[in-house]
Amino acid sequence: MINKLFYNFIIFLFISFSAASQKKPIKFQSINEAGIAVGESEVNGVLQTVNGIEISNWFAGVGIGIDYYRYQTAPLFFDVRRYFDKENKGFVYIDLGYNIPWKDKPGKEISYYNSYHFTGGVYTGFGIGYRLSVSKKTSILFSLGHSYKKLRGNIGVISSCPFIGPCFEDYSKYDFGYGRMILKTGLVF
Amino acid sequence: MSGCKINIMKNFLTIALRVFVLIFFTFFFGGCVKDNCNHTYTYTLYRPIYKTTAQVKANIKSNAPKVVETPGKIVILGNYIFLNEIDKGIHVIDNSNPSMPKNVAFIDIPGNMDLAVKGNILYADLYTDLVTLDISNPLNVLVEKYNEGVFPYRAYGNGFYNDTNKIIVDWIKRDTTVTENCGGGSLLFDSGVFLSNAVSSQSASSNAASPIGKGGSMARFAIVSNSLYTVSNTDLNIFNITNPIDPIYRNKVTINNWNIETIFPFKDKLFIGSQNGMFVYGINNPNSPTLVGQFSHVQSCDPVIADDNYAYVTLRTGSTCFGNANQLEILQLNSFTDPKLVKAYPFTNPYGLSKDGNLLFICDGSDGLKIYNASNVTNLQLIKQFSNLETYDVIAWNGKALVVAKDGLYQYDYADINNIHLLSKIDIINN
Repeated sequence: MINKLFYNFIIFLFISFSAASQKKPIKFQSINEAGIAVGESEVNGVLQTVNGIEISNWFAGVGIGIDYYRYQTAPLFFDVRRYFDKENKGFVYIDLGYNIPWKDKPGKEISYYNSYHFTGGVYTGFGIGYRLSVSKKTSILFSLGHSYKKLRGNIGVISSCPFIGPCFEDYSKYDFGYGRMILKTGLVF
Repeated sequence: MSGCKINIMKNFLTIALRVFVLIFFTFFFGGCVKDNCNHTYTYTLYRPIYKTTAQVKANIKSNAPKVVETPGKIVILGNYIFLNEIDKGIHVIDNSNPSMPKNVAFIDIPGNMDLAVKGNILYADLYTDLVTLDISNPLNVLVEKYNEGVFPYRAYGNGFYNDTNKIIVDWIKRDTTVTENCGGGSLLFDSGVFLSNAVSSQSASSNAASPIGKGGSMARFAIVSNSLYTVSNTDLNIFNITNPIDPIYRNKVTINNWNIETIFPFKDKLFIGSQNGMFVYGINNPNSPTLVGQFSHVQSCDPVIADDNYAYVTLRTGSTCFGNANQLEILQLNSFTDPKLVKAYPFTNPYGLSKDGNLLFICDGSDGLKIYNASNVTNLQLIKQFSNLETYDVIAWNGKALVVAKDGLYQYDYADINNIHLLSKIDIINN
C-alpha cells in the first residue's frame, strides 16, 4: 500500500514537472523551518530543511528534519508544493517519506526490558501556508497542516541464559503512530 | 519591512490562527490528531506433562538412544561419554572409537542437569533428588539410591509445585501471539511465562582409588576423593561417598555470594566461579570446606579452571550475567589467600575452557574453538582456531578435545599440536 502510494507520488511529481519545465525557468530554493507539533499527548518541536527546485508555480524537493514528538526521529521525505497566486504567496504542500528513529533506544531505560531496537516507518504531511517576501531572494514562510509519523520498537527482555545454549528471549513489537497538527515558520532562500 | 507588509502579515497570522484552530479541531475530533500504539507480543505457555513417581523411577534405566537436542553437562570416563540432555536425562555414548562415537543408550532422568561419575557409579540430580546409578554396564544401568530433597532449590517454580506422587517429565510448549492497543504509546509489561533453564557439567581430578570422570568447566557437581561436592546459587553441598552406592549428605556451606555458577576441583582446593568473582575453598577437612581466598571481578558469567600456579577465568556478557566484559583473566595462585590478576585477554564471548599441559582450549562462542600455547601466561600464542561453529564447553583430555557446540558434539585430536584435526561429530538436532 505504502509502496503504491510512493510510486504514484513519484509519477505525479515527474508529470507535473515535465509539463511545467517546458515553459518556465528552474530556480533552486531552500526552505528552512522550525515549528511545533501539537498532538494528543504533548506539544513538541520540529526542525526541517527542504531543498529543491521551483518551476513555474510548482516546487519539489527533498527534506530532512528532526521531529521531537514523543520519540525523537529524523523524517526524510519528498516535498511538493503548489503556489496559488501570481506572486506565489499562498500554497499547499504534501510530504511523503520515511521516518528514521534517532536512537535505537527509547531515550531512557525502562525497567524489565533490557533490549531495544527501533525501526522507522512512513512519514506523511500536508497543509497550507503563506510566503511573505522580505527581500528579493528571501521570504518568511508560515504553514500549518497535519503530519503523521510511524515507528516500530522491538523491545525485549533476555530473561534467562543457560550456561550452554541460547538465551531465552522475549520480544514485543510496539507500533507507534502519531498524528499531529504542525505549525511551522521559517525562511526561504 | 513596509507597513503594508506588516498589515498583510498580521492579517495572515489572524487568518492562519483561525484556520489552525478550525483544522485542529476538525482533525482532532475526526481522529487524525491521535497517538496510537499497538503492542504485539508472543508469550509462551508451558503445560507440564506428569508421570507418577513410580513410573519415573521404573524408567530410570538404559533406554533406547535418543537424538541430542539440548545438550548440557558432559563427563568422560573410559570409553564412554555421558552427556546430559537438559531436564530429560543422560545420553550414553560409546567412544571406544573417537572417530566414530555411537549413541548407544539414554537414561531417562527428568529434571536432570548435573552429573558426576566415579568408577562405576554415576550421580545425577532429579529435580530436588540425587540419584545414584550403577553404570558397570552402561547398557543396563541400575538405580542404587535416591537421596530425596537434597536440592530444594530445584523445585519446579513457575506456579508448579513438587508433588511426592508425580513428577514433571516434559513440557508442552505453546506460543500465542497477541496484539493489543496500548493507547498513547506507553511501554507495557509482557505477561510471558518463562521456563527457566540452566545447564552445568562436571570436572574432577583426584587421588581416589576409582577413576573419576572428567567434566567440563561449567560443572556444578565435582568429586574429590570420597566426597561429592555440588553447588547451588548460594551453597556448597557435601556428600560423603566413601561407600559409592550410598551417598550421605554431610554438610552445607553457605557461600557469601548469590550467583554461584561452577565448581572446579584441583588437588586439595575447590575453585568456585560466581558472577562476581572466584572463591577458593580448602578441603583438608572434606566435610567442612573453608574459604581460603577469593578474587572479585565485574559481574559476568565466569567458568573457572586452575593448574598448579594459575587460575583461568572467562568472563562473558550477553545474558543474565550482565556486565560488559568478554575476556579471559589469568590469576596467579602463589598464595591462594590472595589471587592476583596477571593478565586479561579480550575475547568475543568466551564460555567454557579446558587445559591440558601447556595447551589452553577456549570456547569463544560464535568465534569457535581457540587453542593456545599457554606456556607463558603473559603471552598466550594462538596455535589453532576452529571457526564456523558456536562453542560452549570443552574437555581436553588425553589428546582428545570434546567440544559441545550449538550444532553438535565435536571431537578433535590434538596429540600432534601441528596437526590438530576433527575426528568426529555427533549432530545436535536443534528444535
